[in-house]
Amino acid sequence: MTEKTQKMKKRIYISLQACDFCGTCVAVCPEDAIELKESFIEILDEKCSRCGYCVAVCPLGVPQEES
Amino acid sequence: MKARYDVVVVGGGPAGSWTAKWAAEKGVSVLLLEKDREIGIPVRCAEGVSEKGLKTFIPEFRQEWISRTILGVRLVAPDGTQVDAYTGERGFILDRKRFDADLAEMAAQRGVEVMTKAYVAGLVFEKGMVKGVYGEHLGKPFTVETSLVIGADGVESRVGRWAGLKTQCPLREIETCVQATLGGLGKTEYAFNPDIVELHFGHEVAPGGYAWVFPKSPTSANVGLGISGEYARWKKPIDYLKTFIHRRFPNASVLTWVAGSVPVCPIFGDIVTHGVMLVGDAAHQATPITGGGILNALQAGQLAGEVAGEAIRSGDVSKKKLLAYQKAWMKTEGKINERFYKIKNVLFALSDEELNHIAEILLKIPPDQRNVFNIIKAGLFRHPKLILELAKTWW
Repeated sequence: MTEKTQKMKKRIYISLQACDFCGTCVAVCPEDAIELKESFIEILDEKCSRCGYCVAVCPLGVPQEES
Repeated sequence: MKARYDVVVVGGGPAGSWTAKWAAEKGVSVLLLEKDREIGIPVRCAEGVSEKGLKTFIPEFRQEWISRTILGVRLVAPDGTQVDAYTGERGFILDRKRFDADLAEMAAQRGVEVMTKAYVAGLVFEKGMVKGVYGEHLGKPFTVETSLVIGADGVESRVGRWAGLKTQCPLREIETCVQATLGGLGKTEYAFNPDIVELHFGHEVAPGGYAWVFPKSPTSANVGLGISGEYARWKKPIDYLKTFIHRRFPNASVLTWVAGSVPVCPIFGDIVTHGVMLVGDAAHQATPITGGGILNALQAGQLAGEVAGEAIRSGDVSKKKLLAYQKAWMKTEGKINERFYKIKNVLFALSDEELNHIAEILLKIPPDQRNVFNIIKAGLFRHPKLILELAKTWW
């Protein structure tokens, strides 16, 4: 299987209520666009290329495209 | 916090604490920064290690770190065939909360200054050299000067990236994991054996990975699984785990959920650069086949800490100087990990039919000869060249 994921068109959000702050999305993010603190996480949209890796890899399915 | 330290370590897991301790042994000043409120929490780990390995790396070993002693392994093939194996040495399921806290405290004993709730947001550079780190401590901004930064900041490492090292994990090279600690496993219908670990394989269970049952007490266990990141897009680890628990321990109580991941490819480039060194998951040092990383972190921590201390004492933190750590790592576990990485790519691509076939092969071997070497060897039945590589790792 290749690295390609469905490219996201809309902004990607991470719900602080659902997130476990494990850092898996940070590890695969090609743009270093995710800030992770103790119980805070944020995708910096100005850096995000919408590649969708974070959406693909999350163990819990937390990152979601804006609806 | 002082204005300046010889070495700043980012991350208070085993890799960070052990590097800090060994650097401090060389008589240099060390600051250890942990982003969370408490060292050791949350525990993002199945907590298994070999007894021999742990005692080798930590002669000051403490009994309080051990939740459970393990005598064997049960491998479960996709068709349900069970193969009980005795790997020739005992294992421990650790109490990582206690273990991590004690390692940090052992570092503190050697003079390391430990700070928690200290988030590092970036490195300070001056003329291409690292001059410090900045971040927030208890919510207030800080900057601290240093000549050497150790990135022990885990799978989510950013220290390496800030310094230009290639630490990003490809999707297919990360095991994305979820674990539940289950309680009330004493019911007879569960047939739970707290003296052995169970490893379950198959595409329905955990594609490109495996599910584990690691006993924590006579009636509780860490039950989790990891799948290759390339499969997680279709079905999430949490959903695989719910299915697995429903099948293996129906209606068991979940005491804790935790998510996490392990990089299972070595970094084929450098893990050091001018004024920066990476250790542990940040340096992708876990064993690719098992995802186990505690002992690797201790070994790398000692190597990195010693080189860091010597570099500071000699007044030279150039990449050339720090490469001594990378070379020492590559001569030992790093070389083994590169072999295991090739083997992992074969093992994790096996079909369910092939996995069932391997179980049959193993059942024909006497139980006392079903050691790690022979188990992996059985999995490589179509790859004689890799069996040779495997043999080089053992002898």
